[in-house]
Amino acid sequence: MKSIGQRKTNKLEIVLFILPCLILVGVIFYTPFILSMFYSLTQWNGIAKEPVFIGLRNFIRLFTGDSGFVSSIIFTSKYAFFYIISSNVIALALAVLLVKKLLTANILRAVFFVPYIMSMIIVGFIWRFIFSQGFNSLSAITGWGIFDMSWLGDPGLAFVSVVMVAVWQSLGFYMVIYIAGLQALPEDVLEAAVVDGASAPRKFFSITLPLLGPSITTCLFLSLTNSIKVFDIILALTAGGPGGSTYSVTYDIYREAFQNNNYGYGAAKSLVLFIIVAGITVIIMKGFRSREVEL
Amino acid sequence: MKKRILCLAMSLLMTVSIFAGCGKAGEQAQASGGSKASGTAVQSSAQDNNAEPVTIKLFVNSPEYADAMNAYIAEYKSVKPNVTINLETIQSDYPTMLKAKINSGDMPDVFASTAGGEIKAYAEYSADLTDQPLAKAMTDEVRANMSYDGRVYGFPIKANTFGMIYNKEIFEKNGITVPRTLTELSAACEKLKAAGVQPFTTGYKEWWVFKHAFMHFFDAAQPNDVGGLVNKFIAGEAKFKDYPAINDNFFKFVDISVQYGDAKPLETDLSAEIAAFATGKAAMIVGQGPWVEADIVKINPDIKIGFTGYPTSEDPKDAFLTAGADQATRIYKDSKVLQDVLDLYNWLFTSDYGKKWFSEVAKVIPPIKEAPMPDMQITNELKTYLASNKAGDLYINYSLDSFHQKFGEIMQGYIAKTYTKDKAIQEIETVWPQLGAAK
Repeated sequence: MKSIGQRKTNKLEIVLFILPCLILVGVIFYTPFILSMFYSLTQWNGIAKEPVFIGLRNFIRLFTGDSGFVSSIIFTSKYAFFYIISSNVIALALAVLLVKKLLTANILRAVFFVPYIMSMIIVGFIWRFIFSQGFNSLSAITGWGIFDMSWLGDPGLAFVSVVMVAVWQSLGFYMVIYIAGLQALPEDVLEAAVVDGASAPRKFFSITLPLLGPSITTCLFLSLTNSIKVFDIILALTAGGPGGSTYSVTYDIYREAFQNNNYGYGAAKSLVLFIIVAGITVIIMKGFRSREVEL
Repeated sequence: MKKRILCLAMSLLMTVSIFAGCGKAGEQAQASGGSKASGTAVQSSAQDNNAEPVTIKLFVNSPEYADAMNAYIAEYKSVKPNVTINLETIQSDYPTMLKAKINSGDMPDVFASTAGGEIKAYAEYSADLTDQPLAKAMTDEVRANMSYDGRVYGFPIKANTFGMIYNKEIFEKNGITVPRTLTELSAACEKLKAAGVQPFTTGYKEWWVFKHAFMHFFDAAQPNDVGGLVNKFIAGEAKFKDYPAINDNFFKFVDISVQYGDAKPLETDLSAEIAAFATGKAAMIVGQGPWVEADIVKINPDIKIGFTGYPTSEDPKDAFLTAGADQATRIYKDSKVLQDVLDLYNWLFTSDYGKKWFSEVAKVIPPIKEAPMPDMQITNELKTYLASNKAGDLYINYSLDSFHQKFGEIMQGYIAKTYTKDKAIQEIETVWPQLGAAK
């Protein structure tokens, strides 16, 4: 009897402890979310006192020829693909190097982590300066053609620049997760592999990589959400330019709602983005969780 | 057990404090509702004797004029000691901030927008100034820019002018006369290039540079009814191919300015443009106006700046300057201190101090009649020009900035060669109806 009563008060306690958080999240997260569902059915410029209800017309316009939204989705997918691959591969490679007993391992870890401490906006402005003014001076000194290229002015190169800076900035974060995962690997299994005569690559691909499953899932998931949400780096580095070639979905929504004053249409776009992100996340999480190996 | 009770009490307290927070906000809202009623009382008594303290909230963009605005605020203190003015200026994302304020009920007494299309968007919040002395003091072009449906809904703190800025000394040294046709422009560029001077610096990274340059070509296409033609494009009735000035000449001009311009045109922004011009590296600037003069002179105090219309065709008559007002300050029509705000700006637009304020303190082209021009090189050029010519209409006022921004992006795409000329024109004709007018 007593134990049941105990459980009841426990539940009550849990509810009470969660309540403040729940209210805050509800007010500043779920309420706007539900409200934006309503606004997506209206035409509203954010200025007028009353939004005009127009039913599903925003969604119809969205799915029948909004070339801006489509090209921003293409940009974001391309960006996500390159960002996820390069940040994870490089971070994993660095992590493998930096768990070795190098003299400078600790310093190097700090060096690679420092960019992550800086805000994305600052990083963007710094790199914009490097790409424009810095490269001009470097070109004058060295005369190398690579510095004469218009890294932010050519649509193709601007994409490369955005991915490069984003990877550079967030590398340290994924690296730290991989280092933690590598340090948690059981030494005995690796030792047994060495005794059995496994080569280093074989050891890496057959033991380390499968056992790193949880870290890889975490990193992939984080880099996926980060790359779909990409906004600030583009705002600071290219502001969508040149010629609108680097608009990500989030930046496109921001521009639609706050610069073009189409709040209703912007809300419709963000709902579509939400559904896309939710779908991708569920698929990827399912796929990777089922592949993880546990000892 | 004690600890548990303590925890429970704490979490309860936190929950309650959240609700308390809500409650407070509600009370505040009520309080402000109440003071609205008493606000009218303040207003009427303020007219009787000027002793009642009044606070006016200004929330405007253009922080570059914050010092000048503070100067007239200080001066007004001596005219009406009971009026306190709170000035808040921000530049980036001003429209977003303003919308947040509107929707949260924290409406400033004075706010700002662009002229033209946005006059309509904010009309339901703006006081009608048509019968105020300040509206009568404005120049005719400025008043037209501030009107919607024949009523005046705002006032500018400066008039503006647009044209092509060039370095007089470089032109004289190389024996070049100011080009007034596209053929002359090409020839001048060729000469400058041969002399080792970069003819153009363009600032094509900034989307608004394009609308400023395009304005002159558009005005040349239909000089007498710029607004009407814009509306035809917004309605999707007009086509580029019927107007050679915008269909061919504008693109020809962009080609020339890129060919004879910066090495990385799409990376050159406003500051790079100013630097290249002020240091004498480049001879002409595209898409700028009087607002860059202070920065140029800061870098090179001895520079001789010339200001002329863009060559828009083979007819020298088509190279004209444009002038008018592109920014509007508005008064909130339900402001608690409406009469005091009106008094303030009527004073600024009609008093002796106010007339001098524009040219001497703010150093801008005054938006009012009978006021002296500031002694700056570009405005002096405008004065000389206006003595014998008529300035073009401000095309940029007739569409929203959302269109102009997209227009700039399309032109950047043209320069980056992702669009051909035909594709660019087709894109512009498609987005104009979508983004051109307030909905």
